[in-house]
Amino acid sequence: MKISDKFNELKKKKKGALIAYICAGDPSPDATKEYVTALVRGGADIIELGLPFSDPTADGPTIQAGIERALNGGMTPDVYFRTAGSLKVHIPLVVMTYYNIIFKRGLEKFVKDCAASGISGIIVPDLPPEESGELAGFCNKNDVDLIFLVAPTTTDERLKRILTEGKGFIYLVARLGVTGARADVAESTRALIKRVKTTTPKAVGFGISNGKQAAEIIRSGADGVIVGSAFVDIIASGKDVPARLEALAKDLKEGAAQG
Amino acid sequence: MACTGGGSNAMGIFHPFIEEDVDLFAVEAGGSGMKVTDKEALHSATLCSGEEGILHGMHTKVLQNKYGQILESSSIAAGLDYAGVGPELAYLADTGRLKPCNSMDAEALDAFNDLCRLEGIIPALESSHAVAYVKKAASTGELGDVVVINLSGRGDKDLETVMGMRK
Ligand SMILES: Cc1ncc(COP(=O)(O)O)c(C=O)c1O
Repeated sequence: MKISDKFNELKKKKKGALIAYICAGDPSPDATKEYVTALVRGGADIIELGLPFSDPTADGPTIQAGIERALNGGMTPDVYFRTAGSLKVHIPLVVMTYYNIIFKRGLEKFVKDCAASGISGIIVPDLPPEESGELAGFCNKNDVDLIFLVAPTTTDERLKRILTEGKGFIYLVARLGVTGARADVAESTRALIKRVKTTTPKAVGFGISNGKQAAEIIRSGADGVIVGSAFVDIIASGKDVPARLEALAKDLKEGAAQG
Repeated sequence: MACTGGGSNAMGIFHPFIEEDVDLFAVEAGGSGMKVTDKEALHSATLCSGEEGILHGMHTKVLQNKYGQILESSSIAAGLDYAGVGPELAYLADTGRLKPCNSMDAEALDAFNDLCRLEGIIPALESSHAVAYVKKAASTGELGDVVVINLSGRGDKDLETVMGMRK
């Protein structure tokens, strides 16, 4: 499913989107299938499936640990695309990974593999827009959205470029630093949501962990929330994981829907 | 002759000589051997054995496996222990302007001792790799009459490591 179709559908219902991140293969490829199903049952609108990279510079300790569990569990790009292709979900899937993984596989092959396994968007936190032309070319040819990140420190000049070239949704980084669950919503997050003016959907990530925050973010003008570490924390605990993933997704989705 | 990890001391000393008729040697850390597994390298010799990749925002040579996962590098010298290298050095190596080479942990330790004894200078373990390569190369005829070794740092910080190795 296309990302824009999902956002259009939610817009008609006046509801915010829940984008749920987990790391593929954490702790095993089979577990990922079960966890994705649980997240969808809980109400996730888009699944962001991490393809683990050994040096995840944008990720905090929680997701780093998940990536390590995934790599130890044998996750590779080949296994990743097989796993993604076998997921029976009817919502958009997005891959989040780092540029060396894409570069090593070959840009065109990577994008084609995405298209063939039902992945409709790519997030590459260490690829600046200025260097993204080649990958964007293959994405456009294969109808895959290349999604860019905007941080509180993004310059106006770069923001302009991101808003013209960004596809799917604009990923607003709620605060400086790395990923990781926080309890509150920073003032800078609201400021960033106001600053980014575009018709492309805006989704906010980094630090969201509960329904109350999700509601606040949607109320501040975002179209979606992205939640990762809070889900990965549940996976790390190893206890009652599918039920708890589903419950947290439900809480977040309710927040995003009322906001 | 400069030890090379990420390459800042190396590029600094090479820079004024690039246009000159001077050989440039980038001495990397051979660690405990040039072996690699799927996850780690026993060395940090990125110019010698890395492949094209992207790490920390650089398009350069990188120690990585076939999927692009970065290998855990290794060296007795913390300052050389890095899986990437500055792209300018990777370029100079590709064009043949500089020669990538390496010294092993044990060779660097020997060179450390030699410089302490013979000159009263305690070199950093990083710099000791360059000294060690000069010792090796002195007998192979690849060096000219005048050799400049960049002693990039003092070894006071490394005494604990060196003493530990002696036990
Ligand atoms: C004494 C010393 N020499 C050399 C280096 C590394 O040099 P380069 O950046 O040229 O690889 C370091 C790095 O920490 C160092 O401490």
